[in-house]
Amino acid sequence: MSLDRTIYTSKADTSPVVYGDACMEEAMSALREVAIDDVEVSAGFDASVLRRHKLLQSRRTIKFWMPALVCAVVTALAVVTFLQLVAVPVSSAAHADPIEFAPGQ
Amino acid sequence: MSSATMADTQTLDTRAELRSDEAAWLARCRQGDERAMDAIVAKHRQRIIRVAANVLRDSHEAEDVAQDAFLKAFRELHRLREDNAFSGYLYRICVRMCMDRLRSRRADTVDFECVEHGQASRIETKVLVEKLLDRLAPELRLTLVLREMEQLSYDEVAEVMGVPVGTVRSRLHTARERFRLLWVKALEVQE
Repeated sequence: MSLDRTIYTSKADTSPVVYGDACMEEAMSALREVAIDDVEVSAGFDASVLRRHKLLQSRRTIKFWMPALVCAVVTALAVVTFLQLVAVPVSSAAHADPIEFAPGQ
Repeated sequence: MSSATMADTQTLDTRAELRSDEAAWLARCRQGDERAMDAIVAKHRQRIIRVAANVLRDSHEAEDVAQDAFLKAFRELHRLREDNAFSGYLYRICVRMCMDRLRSRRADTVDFECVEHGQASRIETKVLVEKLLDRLAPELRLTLVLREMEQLSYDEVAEVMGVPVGTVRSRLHTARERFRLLWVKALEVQE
C-alpha cells in the first residue's frame, strides 16, 4: 500500500458515504499493515528482568528491616550512654561534692 | 475414536499439561525461585513486548515496559487467584503500563509534510500511521491498537482496559473516525 492512492481521483465520482467508507477501509488496512507481529527480543532481556527483580527484592528487604535497625542502634546508644553514666568512678563523684567547695569553709 | 478426535484430545492434553506446568513454575516463583522466573519470562516475553511495541511504536520503550510489567507481576503474584490466568494478568499489567507511558508523553504537534516522499511505500505508511496515532488520545489509541493490530475481541479489549464493552465500542467508533479524518487530511497535505 502506498500513499499515492487513488481515492482522491474517485472522490468526485462517488457519494460521500461511499467515499468515507473507502477512506475508513484504507486507513484501517494501513493500520493493520504496520502492526508488529514479530519482535526481536534483545539478548539480555531475561537476565535484566532477573537482575532488576533481585535489586528490588534487596531494596524491599532493606526497607522492611530499616526501622528495626534504626531502633536497635538508638537503643544500643542509649544503653551505652546510661551504662557510662552509671559507671562513673566514686572518686570522681566525691571530687565533685558541693560541700567541699562551699563558701566560708 | 476418529483420528481428528484423537488429535483434538491430544492437543487438549498438551494444553492442560502446559497449564499445570505453568502453575508449578508460578508456585516456585512465589518462593523466589529464579529458574522458574526465567522460564516464565521466556514463555511470555514475545507477546508482552509485541503488544507494548504495537502500542508505543518504539522497540526500546517496549522492552522497558515489558520488563516493568514482569517485575510488577512477580511482585504482586500473591494477588493472582488462579494460576491459569497469569497470561491475561501479565498482559493487562503491560497494557496499563503502556497507557501510563502514553499519558506521560508530551503531545507534539505533527507536521504531515515531514513524511518524506520517495521512501519505500511501506516505511512511508508506517511513519504516517505512527504520526497519526500520536495525535489520538491515549484511550482511543490504545483501544484502536488492541482491536485492529492485536486483533482482540471487544470483550477482551474491555477486560484488558478495565472498562465496560459499551465504552470500548464507543471509543473504537470515535478512534476510527478520528483516525480516518487524520488519514484523509494527511493525504490531502501530501498531494
